[in-house]
Amino acid sequence: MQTKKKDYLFALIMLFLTGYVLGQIEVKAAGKFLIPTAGGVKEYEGVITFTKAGVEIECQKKIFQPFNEFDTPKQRKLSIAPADLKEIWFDKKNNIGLFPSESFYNRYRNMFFRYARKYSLMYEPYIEYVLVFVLNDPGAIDNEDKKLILFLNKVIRGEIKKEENTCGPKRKILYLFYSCFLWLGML
Amino acid sequence: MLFMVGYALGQTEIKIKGKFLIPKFFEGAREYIGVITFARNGIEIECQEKIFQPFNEFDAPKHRKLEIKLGEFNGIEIKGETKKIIINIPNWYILKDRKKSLYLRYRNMFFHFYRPITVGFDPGYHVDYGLEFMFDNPDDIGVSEKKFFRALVNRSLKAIKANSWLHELIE
Repeated sequence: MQTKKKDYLFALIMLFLTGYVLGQIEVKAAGKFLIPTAGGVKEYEGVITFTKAGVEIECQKKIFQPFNEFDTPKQRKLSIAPADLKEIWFDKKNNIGLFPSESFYNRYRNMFFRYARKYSLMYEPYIEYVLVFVLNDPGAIDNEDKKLILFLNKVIRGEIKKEENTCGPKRKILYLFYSCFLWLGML
Repeated sequence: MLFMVGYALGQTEIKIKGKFLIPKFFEGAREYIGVITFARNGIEIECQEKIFQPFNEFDAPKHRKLEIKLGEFNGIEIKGETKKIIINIPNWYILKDRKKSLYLRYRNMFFHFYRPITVGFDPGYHVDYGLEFMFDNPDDIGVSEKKFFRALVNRSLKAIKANSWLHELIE
């Protein structure tokens, strides 16, 4: 009985802590939203906000319009729900990359940059798409903020299936076969 | 054959009425009434509405016409069942002046085609990009028109070869 009570107590505390951490997420940072164009990369001044409800990008200019929907009005804001994202990513200068789910990519296809990730030496890089936001002041998002955003990242990543990013058993066997062949060749 | 190719190339131009298609944000396509013209110097698509604007250049003016020069396409496919003409383009990264490539200029107009390929034992796919035009009257495209298209594509392939750093891929 004692251990059961402890388990319940532990579960309640964990729930409270998770709720508390999620409730805290509200990080704002000014910077530039980048989009690819025919003539190169264009920069639009804006603000990115991370909340528990997702990510919001607000630009000074009205640039957000669903892909090829020429008649719909352009918006200043782009709200992205956690389910619309696959991953939030930071580079060394704290620039932010948002990797979309398929439906979100389809809606705003023209805003995304192509990003090649190499999962294995054997195969061609896997092309992914990413929204890029460059911070004016890299210190605007400190380590504490980063932890909270990465926590949101974990929540997002928990929602996607693992099979999407890993290779299947057939590929694994082929990969083993190829590597053995290569080793034999080298010997 | 030489005579036939010469004859086909000698024809000044072929005009076909129909609808220019552009991909929608989710599935399907939007249709814009227009005319496609195949000439010796390239292809021209003219729509009734002004829809052609360089990719994400929001301030640039929109145009009715899109000109595709020789060296900017590497295939013309005629799909009889769906009444579609598909203009394929080469991979932009094999071109020397890739920044001026048609794909980078009008990226939002292109459809993606997944073509199955097999590398060793490993099945995979290759993504091709193409512009789609749906013709109204199937009688507009006969045998001589197809020959003309073939000759046009050959001329364009030569131009691509001159402008690419990777000849082997085109062959």
